[in-house]
Amino acid sequence: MSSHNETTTEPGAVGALVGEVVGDEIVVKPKRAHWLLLLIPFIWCVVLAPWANSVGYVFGSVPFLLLWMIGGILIGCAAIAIVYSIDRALGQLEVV
Amino acid sequence: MVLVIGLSIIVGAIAFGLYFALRGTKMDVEEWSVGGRRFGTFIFWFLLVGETFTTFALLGATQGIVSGGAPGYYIFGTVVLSAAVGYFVVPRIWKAGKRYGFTTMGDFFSARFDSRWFGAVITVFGIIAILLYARVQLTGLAIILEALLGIKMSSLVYVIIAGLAILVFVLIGGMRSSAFVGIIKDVLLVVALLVVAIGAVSAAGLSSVAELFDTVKRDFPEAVALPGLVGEANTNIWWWMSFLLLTPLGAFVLPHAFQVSYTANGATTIRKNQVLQPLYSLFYVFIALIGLSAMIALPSMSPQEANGALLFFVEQEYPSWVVGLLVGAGVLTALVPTGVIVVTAASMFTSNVIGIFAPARARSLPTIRVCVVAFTAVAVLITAMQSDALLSIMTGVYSAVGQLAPALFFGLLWRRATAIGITTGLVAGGLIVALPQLNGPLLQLLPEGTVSGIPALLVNVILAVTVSLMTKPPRAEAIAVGMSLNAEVAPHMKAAQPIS
Repeated sequence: MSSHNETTTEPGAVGALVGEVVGDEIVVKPKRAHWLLLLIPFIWCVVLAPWANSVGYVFGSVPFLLLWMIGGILIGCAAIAIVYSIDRALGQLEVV
Repeated sequence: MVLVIGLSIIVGAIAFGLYFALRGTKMDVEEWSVGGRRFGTFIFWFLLVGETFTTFALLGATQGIVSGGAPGYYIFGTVVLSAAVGYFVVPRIWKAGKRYGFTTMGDFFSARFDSRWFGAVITVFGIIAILLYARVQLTGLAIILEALLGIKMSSLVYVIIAGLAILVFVLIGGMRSSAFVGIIKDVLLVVALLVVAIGAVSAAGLSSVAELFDTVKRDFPEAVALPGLVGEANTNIWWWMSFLLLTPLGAFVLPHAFQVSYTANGATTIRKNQVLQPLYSLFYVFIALIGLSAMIALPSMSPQEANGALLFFVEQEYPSWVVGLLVGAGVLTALVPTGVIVVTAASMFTSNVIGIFAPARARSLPTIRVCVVAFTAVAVLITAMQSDALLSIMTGVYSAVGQLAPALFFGLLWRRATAIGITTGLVAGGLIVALPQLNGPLLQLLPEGTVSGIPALLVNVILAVTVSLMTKPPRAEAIAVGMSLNAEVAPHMKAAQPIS
């Protein structure tokens, strides 16, 4: 089966995605490196938890673990938002 | 007063929700179980965040904080972790559902692994998992109903009333009712929580949030960090790490989450939601404030007694209109997710188990409704049989449902996975979670506190991989169901090549 590249557009895309024609189908190949950012919530809430648990009180009487987890929501959300905006700029939002 | 306000909220919300759900909509299986696949950002958001604010989040998280302190803070991690995984998983599930017309989790697995028996196996496991999950919601609902009616009756009676309420709600509108009532429930719950949270500090007899933290530090010093006040291994750092790891893995194989994924109108809607949902979980900060205030105001309670801590606290220290508001919102909070669970269990069982023996009934709405009654009854039974701290029940649920995760993740990521391999792993994992004779020895090998779901999952994966490699892989068309969802037929070939 020979293959060559062809551009195609996905619904809702900003630009054109590159797809490879394989036989009867165009197989879209998205860029996915930025998805590593999706690991950030795990690193924050699981991997770093033992450290956060050991810090104790902060600002006098506030448990650090509590603040850390609230921070985890904010940072994690930002990470997912960045992944989303990169996908949107690349026109890949509808590429599953 | 409590009864009046609470009941008006509940009846009003349900009537309102049913009206909007049914207005101008022909009710068929696709409408009833996946909302006709038309839910845009706004409704889809509410349906999914309805999962953020379940009875567990309300009562269970409070229970965790009131009886232990730090262990309750794990709840902050659950939604953001699930959103990170969901960004990848949910759009795929949705696309597969749209392309092949799936309405249940079983449909996906039957197609992806080329075996209706495999779909039935997954369905049965999935139903067991969500009945356990329903136990959490029903336990909570029974507690809230007792607060609403103010009559001391055996908890069995309240659990039965809870079951009946869910039945009425679900039999008429299915998934669409849940979506619409869910919107009302989320708004009301946020209002109720705000009201309670604003008053929490003074209800505990203190003058500021700073004084709240100072008092907790002085009187409950172990609450600052894991393992918390009770101080046992079942809420220590290993419990925390293993439970938080299992939660996002299990979240998408909870069959109702799977089914809800089908309801969106596109991958963009889904992904936008994954960004926004964790922000909604910032409301858990109010739960933390309320929980810490309750810790000070209430006498010390065992973890199981603390299931009702939020309600006791509000009943004791707040005017009755607040209690009515909270109770009304609380009933809706239990009804909506449980409604979704029961719809899911019923559609799944009908399509993927009954459907094998009586194909004509696979999508029959009346059959599904009979199953709704049956599953609600079973859920009521298991809830009534034994009571436990909500946090413990939930840990068990995720250990169990986590065993389905390899089926989903291998299905989306590994061509070589086979039905026999995954089933072997699944059965082994399930047995390990269920039988103390098996999980006891395995847990000795891991740090104390680790939840049983983790060693079970490890064995599960090892077996799934080994046995898959020894058995025949599914056909290419089946593998495509999970792994080639972006392939589009080239335009010049469209007429000759239908996508089936």
